[in-house]
Amino acid sequence: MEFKDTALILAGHGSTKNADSSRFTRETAHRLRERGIFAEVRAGFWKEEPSFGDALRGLQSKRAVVVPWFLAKGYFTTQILPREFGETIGVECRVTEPIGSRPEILELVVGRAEKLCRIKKHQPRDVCVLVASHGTGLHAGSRRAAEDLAVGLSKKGYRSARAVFLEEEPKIADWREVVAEDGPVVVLPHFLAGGLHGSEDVPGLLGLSSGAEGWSEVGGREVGYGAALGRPDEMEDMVIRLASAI
Amino acid sequence: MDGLGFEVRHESDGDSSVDLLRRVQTLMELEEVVRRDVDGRYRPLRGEMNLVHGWFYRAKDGDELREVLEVIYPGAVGNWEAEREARLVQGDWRGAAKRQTGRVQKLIENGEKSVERAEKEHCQGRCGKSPLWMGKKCRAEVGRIPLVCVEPCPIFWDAALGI
Repeated sequence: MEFKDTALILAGHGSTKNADSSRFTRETAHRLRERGIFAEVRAGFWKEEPSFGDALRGLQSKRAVVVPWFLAKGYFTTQILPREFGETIGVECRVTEPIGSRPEILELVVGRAEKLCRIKKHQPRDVCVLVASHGTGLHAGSRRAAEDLAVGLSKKGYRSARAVFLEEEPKIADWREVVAEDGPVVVLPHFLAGGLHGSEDVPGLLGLSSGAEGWSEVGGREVGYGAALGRPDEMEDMVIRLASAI
Repeated sequence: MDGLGFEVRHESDGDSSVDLLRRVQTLMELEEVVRRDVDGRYRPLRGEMNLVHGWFYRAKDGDELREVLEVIYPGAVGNWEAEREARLVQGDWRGAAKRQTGRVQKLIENGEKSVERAEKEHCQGRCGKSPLWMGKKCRAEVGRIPLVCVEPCPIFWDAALGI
């Protein structure tokens, strides 16, 4: 598919508090711009500049494909983005499925779990996995995305795989009760950035001293913490596939 | 810049020799420069009058210059063009609040004083943009791209909510 007359907008959440929250989104936008596939490439955010509206008005193109930089078909991707990009003046926008809808996400999450297991030479059958996600009472899709990943992980031979959340039950802070089995626990942050949630909030709730990838001991248990999703080198081809599929 | 493109630098660096300034080579690098204040703190409010100086960027043509301006003042060029061409749809803060999540929407009912306070402290006190949604006019000056604010930003909502 040709995009020579079409702009790409990566539509993310962003943060007013954490400069790194949008780093992967912005880096991916810069990488894709340098590849010259799209007429223009912009990142736009709900919580930082440029806003979605400012990003749109900054375009010279009359057509834009909007790729939601989100992991779930949840509140933002089913309600906010269709509305914000639905009635735009001068630019015809098409919003794709969110990044989290791509099957590669499960592969990436499995890869992070396998990497942690290799470090300690653990076998998957001995390891309990937690997918640590945001969750929201505003939309069930957010929860479903994390639970689907947990199901996918459980089919890879792990002892158990469950989803835990910041804003829904079961809470990340209650992870010891969620993982009834003994033995090592691998926690995979279900966030598209190494921002505040992935690098500080989730590790803090787990009892980890940092959000760095690797193993720690928490209350006598081995806990491996995985890298956040969203690395530009892993995302850019997924973005092109989403844009091409619409 | 002598037919070789454009050189972008902070106004306060004036005619300083490039030998005294840091050359920024890529848009990503420029983004990292302008997203921090002089003390290295996150600078989420891009219209704030604390853009760091001491750097320059060479844009090879008008298209790259536009990208550079988009990094420094996101949306400024597009909003300016839209304002000149009467394409800006100007609403008020209540209309914008309706599109936000619940806690911001509550401001519509009883938050007028909070909004006025936030506009005074946040918009007038910190930001160089003209908030069109508060009835302000575009502060256009010859030779300058005006910075207009089309709708309240997340930092404004945080200020109005006292977060």
